[in-house]
Amino acid sequence: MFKNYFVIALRNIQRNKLFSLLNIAGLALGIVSCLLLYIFVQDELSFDAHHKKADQLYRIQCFYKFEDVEDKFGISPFPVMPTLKKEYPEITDGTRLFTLGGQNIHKEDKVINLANAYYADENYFKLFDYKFLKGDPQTALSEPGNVVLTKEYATKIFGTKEPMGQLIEWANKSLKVTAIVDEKGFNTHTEAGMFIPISSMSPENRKQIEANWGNNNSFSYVVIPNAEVAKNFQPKMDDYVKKYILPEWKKFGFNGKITFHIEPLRDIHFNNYLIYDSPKKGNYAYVKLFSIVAILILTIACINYINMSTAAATRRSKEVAMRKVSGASRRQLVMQFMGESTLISFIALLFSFGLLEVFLPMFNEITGKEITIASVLSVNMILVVLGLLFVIGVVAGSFPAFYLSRFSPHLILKNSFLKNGNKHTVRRVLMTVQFAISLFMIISTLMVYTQLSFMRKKEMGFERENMMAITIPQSFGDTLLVKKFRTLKNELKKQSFVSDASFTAYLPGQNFSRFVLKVKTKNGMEDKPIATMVSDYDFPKLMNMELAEGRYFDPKNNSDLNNAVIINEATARMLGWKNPLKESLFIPADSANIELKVIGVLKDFHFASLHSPIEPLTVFMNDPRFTSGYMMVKMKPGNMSANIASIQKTWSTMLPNKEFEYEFLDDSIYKLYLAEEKMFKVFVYFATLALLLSAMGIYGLSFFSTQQRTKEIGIRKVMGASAGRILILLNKEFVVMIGIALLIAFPAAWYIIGNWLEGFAYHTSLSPFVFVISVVGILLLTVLTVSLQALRTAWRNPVLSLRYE
Amino acid sequence: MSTIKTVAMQKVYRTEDIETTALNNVSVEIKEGEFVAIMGPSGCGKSTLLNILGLLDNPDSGEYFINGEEVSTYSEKKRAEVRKANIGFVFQSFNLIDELTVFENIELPLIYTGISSSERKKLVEEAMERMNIVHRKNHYPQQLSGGQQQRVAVARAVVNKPKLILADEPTGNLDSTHGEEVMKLLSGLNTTGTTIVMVTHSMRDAGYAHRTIRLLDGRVLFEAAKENQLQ
Repeated sequence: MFKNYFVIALRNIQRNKLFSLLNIAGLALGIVSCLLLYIFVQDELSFDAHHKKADQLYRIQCFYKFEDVEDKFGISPFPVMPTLKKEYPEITDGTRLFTLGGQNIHKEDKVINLANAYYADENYFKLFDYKFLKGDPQTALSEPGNVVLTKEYATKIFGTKEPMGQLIEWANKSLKVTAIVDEKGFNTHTEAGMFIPISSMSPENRKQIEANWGNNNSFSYVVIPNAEVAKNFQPKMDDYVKKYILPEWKKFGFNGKITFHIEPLRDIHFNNYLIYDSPKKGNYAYVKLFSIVAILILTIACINYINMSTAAATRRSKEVAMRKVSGASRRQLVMQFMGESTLISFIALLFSFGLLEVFLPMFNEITGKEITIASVLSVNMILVVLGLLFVIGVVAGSFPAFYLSRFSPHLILKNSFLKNGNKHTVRRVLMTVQFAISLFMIISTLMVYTQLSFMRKKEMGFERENMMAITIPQSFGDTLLVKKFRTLKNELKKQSFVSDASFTAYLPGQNFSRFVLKVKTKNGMEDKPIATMVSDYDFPKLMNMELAEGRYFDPKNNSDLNNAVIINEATARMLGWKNPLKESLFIPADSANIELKVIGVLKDFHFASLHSPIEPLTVFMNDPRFTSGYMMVKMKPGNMSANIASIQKTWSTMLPNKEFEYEFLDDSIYKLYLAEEKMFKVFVYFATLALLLSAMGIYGLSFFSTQQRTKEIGIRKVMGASAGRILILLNKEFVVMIGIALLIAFPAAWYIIGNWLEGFAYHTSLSPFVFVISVVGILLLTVLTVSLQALRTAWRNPVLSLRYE
Repeated sequence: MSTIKTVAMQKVYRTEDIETTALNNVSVEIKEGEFVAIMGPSGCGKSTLLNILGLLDNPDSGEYFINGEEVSTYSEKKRAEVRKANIGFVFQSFNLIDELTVFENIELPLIYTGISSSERKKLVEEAMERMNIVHRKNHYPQQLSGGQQQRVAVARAVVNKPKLILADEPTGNLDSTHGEEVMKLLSGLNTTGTTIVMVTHSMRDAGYAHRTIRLLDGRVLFEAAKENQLQ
C-alpha cells in the first residue's frame, strides 16, 4: 500500500510540474529562512551558555542615582567582590576583571597597541571556560608576571613564531606568555584580550585600588550555586550597600541613591541598559523580531502549499473517488495525503540545505557572525529540521488531506462537487493572511530604512565631513611624549590641506564620562552628574559647535585652563539658569571646591547617538596635561589618500615607534546605527523572500482559479466580454483580498512600527506614503502575476472553453 | 442584419497526427426572419458551422457575409462588437454562470454593451417576464430545473434584442415537456421577427423551423423547406 502511495505521490509531483516546483521551491525557501533564523537565534542565545558554571555565575551591577539621573554600571568598584563573598557564605566563589582598556606593549623596539586588556583574578579561567589553544587554565594566571593572550594578539605580536614562554614588556614590567586562548572559540559577553594576573600589580597600587570604593573599574562576578538564593538576593545586596558602600561615599559628601544588583550571566548579552559594559551586545528585541519573521515566512510557505494542494484537488478528485469506491477509509486517505506532503517537504528540505550553503555567507555578512554549516550541525539542529518536517508535513498537509478525503464519491464522479456552494473560503482567508504579512513586511522594511537614513543624515550640530580622528596613545605621564603630540599638532596645522587640528578625549557618539559636579542652589550645594567632554581649547571651534552666547576657551587667558567651563543649552535648562554666563560649577575637592566659571554656552548638538535625547554637557579645557584620546584633524577636500599618507609620514617621522591609527568622524557616526542597519538588511532580505513566496502563491492560485473558471470565462466572452474585462474579473478577487489584508496589516504596522520608532529620541514619523507604496507594490505584483497567466485564457477562443461542455 | 451568407467555407481541425475536415465547401444563405434548423449526425460539422455563424470562430477559407459585409477576416475585437450588438446564443448545456443569480446571468450581455443600470434592470425584467421566470430572479442556476435553466439561457440570449439567435441543441438536455416549452419560446421569438438558426438532433424540434439544412461529413447534404421535409 505504501509503495502505491509513494509511486502515486512521485507521479503526481512529476505530472504537475508547475505545481510541484512552486511547492517545493516555496517550502525550501521557507525552510531555509527558518534554518537561518534558527542559527541566528541559537548563536545569540549561546552567549556564555558554554561555561560549566553558566547558571551559577552573576555579575554585579551598580546603579547610582543623583537627583533624577540614574547611571547603571556593568562595572563595579574593585573591593566589592571579596567583601560580598566574605559577608555572605552562600556566595561560594568570585572573580574579577579589572579593566585596563587599550594598552601598548613593547616587543623589542616595536610598540604594539592592544585594544583590550585586563587585570584578572587568578581564578578567572577556573570559573569562566575559554578555549585554550595552549597552556593550562588552572595555572595560566597563577604567577605574577604571567600573561594570557588571545590568538589574535599573539599573532599581532609574534607573527608566526611560537608565543608560549616569550616575554613582552608592558608598563615597565616583563610578562611571560603562559597561555593562548581562542577569542572566537565561544560566544561570551566579555571581549577577550590580554589577561594579566592581578598579582602583577605593584603592592602600592594594589593597596590603593583595594581601598577605592568610589571608582567603578572592574567586572565583578560571583558564584551562587543555589538559584533560589540568587533569586531572593536583592535584600542582602541592599544591606551590603548600607554596610559597605554608603559610608564610603558619605566621606565625599555624596548623597545620591546607590543600589547594587546581581545580573545572571546569561542575561548579560541581552541587557542593553548599562553604561560601561562589555561592547558585544545582543538585542533580545531583535532575536524576538527575527523569530517572528521566520515564522511568518514559513507561514507563507505553508499557506502556499495548502492553497495549491486544495486547488489541485479538482485534478485529483477522480483518484480520491476511485479509492473510496474501492474501499479506502477516510483515515487511509488522510494518511496518504499527509505522507505526500511530508514527501514534498522532505524534497524541499534537501533543496533547502543547498540553499543554506548559498545564503549562509550573505547571512554572515549581514549579521556580522561567522557561522558555517559544520558549526551549526548539531543534534538540536537535526531536531529542529525534523520538527519543521513534521510541522509542514502534518500541519500543511492536514488541510488538503481532510479537504480531499471529505468528498463523497458519487458527487465527485458526477463532477459536481465543486458546485456545492464551495466558495473556497479557507483558501481566500489564507491568501488574505499572506497578503497581510507581505504588506506588513514592506511597510516595516521601508520604515526601518526611513529611520536609518533619517538618523544618518540628520544635522548633528557639528562638522563631520573630512574630519580625521587620529588615536593618541596614552603617555603615562611622559611629558616629553605629550610635548611631541603638541608639536605634531602644530606641524600638521602647517600642511596646506589641513585647515585645523585639535585634541579631544572622546569622539562625538562615544559614551562621555559623567562627572559629579556641584551647583549652588537655594538649598546649598547640590550634586549634579553631568556628561563631560574634555578637549583642547580650540576643539569646539574646530568642530563648528555654535555658541549661543559667551566665548570659546582662550589659551592666552590663564584662568581658562583650570577655572572655566563651557556648557550646552541643556545644562542651562536643567539648572534653571537665566543668565548662565554669570554662573559657576564646582569640582568637589578635599579642601575647597574648585570653581569653574561658565564662559560660554554651546547650542545643543547631538554629542551622543540619536537613540537618546540631548543631555546636559560640560566642556573642560585640558591642555598640557592631555594624555589620551584623539587628535581631530580637519582636512580640506582634496586627494584624501595622498593627504592621509602625508599625515602618516609626519607621524612616523616624529613618533617612529607609535602606531598610526585613524578613523573618519562620519564613519564613526555611521557606525552608531549599525544595529538598525543590520535590522534593515534582514528586513530587506526577508521582505523580498516574503514577496517572492507570495508571488509564487498568487501565481499558483490564479492558475487554478483561472482553470476552474474557464467555462465561466468562455461564457462571458461569448456574451461580449473583452480580454480586459476578463483580466479585471480574475484580478478582482485578489484585489478584494488585498483590501481586507490592508485592514489587518495597516493597524498592526502602525502600532508595532510606531512603538519601535518611539524607542528613538529622534525619529521620523510614520509616513502615509510608505503605506501607499506598500499597497501599490502588492497590487502591481498581484495584477502582474495574475494577468500574466490569465491573459492566456482571456485571449483564448471561447469556443475551446465551451466545446466539451 | 437581413441576410447571412457563406461562400465555399472551409474549416479543418488539426491535431498532431489527425486532420479533420469539419466544414468542406459549405455555402448557405439565411434570410432575415427565417427559422433554420441544421441537422446531421455527430461530428458532421453542425456546431462548427454555428460557431462560425456566431462569429465565435473563423473559417480557414471561404467567405462569410453579414448584410453584405465580409466578416470572416474581422479581428477578434471587431467580431466581438458585431456579436454583442446582433447575436444571442442558446446552448445545449445552458452555460449559465453558477456564481451568478438568474437576474445577473440574464444581465450579463447588457453589462458588456455598456447599458445603464436602470435600463438594464428594465430589459432584464422584460426578458424574465417573457420567459416566465420572474419568480426565480434571485435563485442560482443549480437551484433550478433544467427547463428553467434553459429559459434563463433563452432570456439571456434575447435580452439584448438581437436580430439573430443561434441555438445549439437547445433541448438536448431537457425532457420532452420542457423541450417543447423552449421550442415554443423560440418559435414565438421568430414570429416577432428574430432570425433563428438552430442545431438539433430532434426531428420534432426541426419541425418548428421553416427550413432544414442537412450536413454530412462537413458538406451540405441537402436543404429542404418545411413542406418537403414533412413528407
